[in-house]
Amino acid sequence: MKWTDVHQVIEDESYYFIYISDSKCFTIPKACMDVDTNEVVKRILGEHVIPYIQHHSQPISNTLVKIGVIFIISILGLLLFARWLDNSIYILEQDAYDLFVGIENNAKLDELSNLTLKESVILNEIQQVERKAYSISGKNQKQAELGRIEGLLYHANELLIDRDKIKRIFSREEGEYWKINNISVEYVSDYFMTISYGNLGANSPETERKVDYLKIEAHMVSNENADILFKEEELIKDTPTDLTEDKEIGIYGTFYQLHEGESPTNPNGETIGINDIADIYILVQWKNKMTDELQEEKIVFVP
Amino acid sequence: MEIQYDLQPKDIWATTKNSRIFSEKLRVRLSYVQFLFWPLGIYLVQVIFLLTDSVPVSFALTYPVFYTFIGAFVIGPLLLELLFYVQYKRFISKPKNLHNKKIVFQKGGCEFTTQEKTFL
Repeated sequence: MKWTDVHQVIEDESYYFIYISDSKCFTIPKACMDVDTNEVVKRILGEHVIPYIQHHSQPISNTLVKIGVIFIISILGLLLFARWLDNSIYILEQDAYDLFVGIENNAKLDELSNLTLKESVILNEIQQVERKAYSISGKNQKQAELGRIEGLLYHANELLIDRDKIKRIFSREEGEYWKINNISVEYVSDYFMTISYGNLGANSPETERKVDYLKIEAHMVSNENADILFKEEELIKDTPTDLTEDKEIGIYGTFYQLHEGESPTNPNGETIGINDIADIYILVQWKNKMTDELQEEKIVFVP
Repeated sequence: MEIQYDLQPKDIWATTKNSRIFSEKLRVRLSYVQFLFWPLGIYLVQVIFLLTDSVPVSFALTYPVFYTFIGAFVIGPLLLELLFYVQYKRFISKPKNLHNKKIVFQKGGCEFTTQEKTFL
């Protein structure tokens, strides 16, 4: 090879790197030459090759590379372990068992009635395990195991509701033309609030007939006297309905999923809990053939 | 003048390091891999996985940014180093790649004699 064909020569403390092209290099270690030979080689290459670059490289160390390799393997190992933990039905099972007192491994679903929820368990813990079970359910083949764990979680939910549920009955205090049985409010903090109404029926000769139009508005009054409209429904609109002879019309309950952010709020935007409700009243608006114009009655319920 | 020598494994590693500084072709290729194809690849793979999981598009586009950063600037360089290390180990595992090298310096040029290809 002619000197003019040599691409470049790099000299550092320990080597001559003779590049015969941009990506092809021959390495001559200085250690294989004596001092005189080294001087001669340096002079020859310096005289004939352009560019001749003298480069001071860092001391060569494989230690950093080895540390890097160990680091990568550790990260990959940790990632695999974390993935295994995420998808492990065993861990999920342990999490589910941790919700109960004294549960034995492989508890059967028919033994659920004997289980007791730990006092310290809160809804959020059950929901975390439920979310994990949901994420695993698509990937894991052990559907029978998963089904058993989901049964446990369902039971944990039931026990939590039984333990934490507050129920209050609001009884009718005022109301002349219409009657509604008591209103019951069931509440589990940060979970749900259900307001159930009885059926609506006529309570006087004036209303005990065919009704052309019937609408209700349900309001709750907070302890701070804030009036909150939480239900509005037209029960009879187009088809006249017979409400004679103790016939009644059903009213669907109101359900708030508090853990999903649904809740009744006062005008300041503050959430209303069960203990904040002073009373509930229902405004009934109706029209029948006797009364061409819209009639209205307020039925008040107090705890 | 004629020089006969054998290379040691550390000489091959030194060649790798040197070529990563002075080989224009290798430098450009590494830059493309390190700063373009690798980050873009891991970002796109994550986005595609998230989109197939039916997450909102805005989430699918923003969520992988952090992991792309980690992948591009932590995992990527280490992985590249690992690849070089594996290539180096494979090269030095063949004794004929290291032994019986000869270079002859002549007036008009030089002559290399090797049993096997060079590392690069």
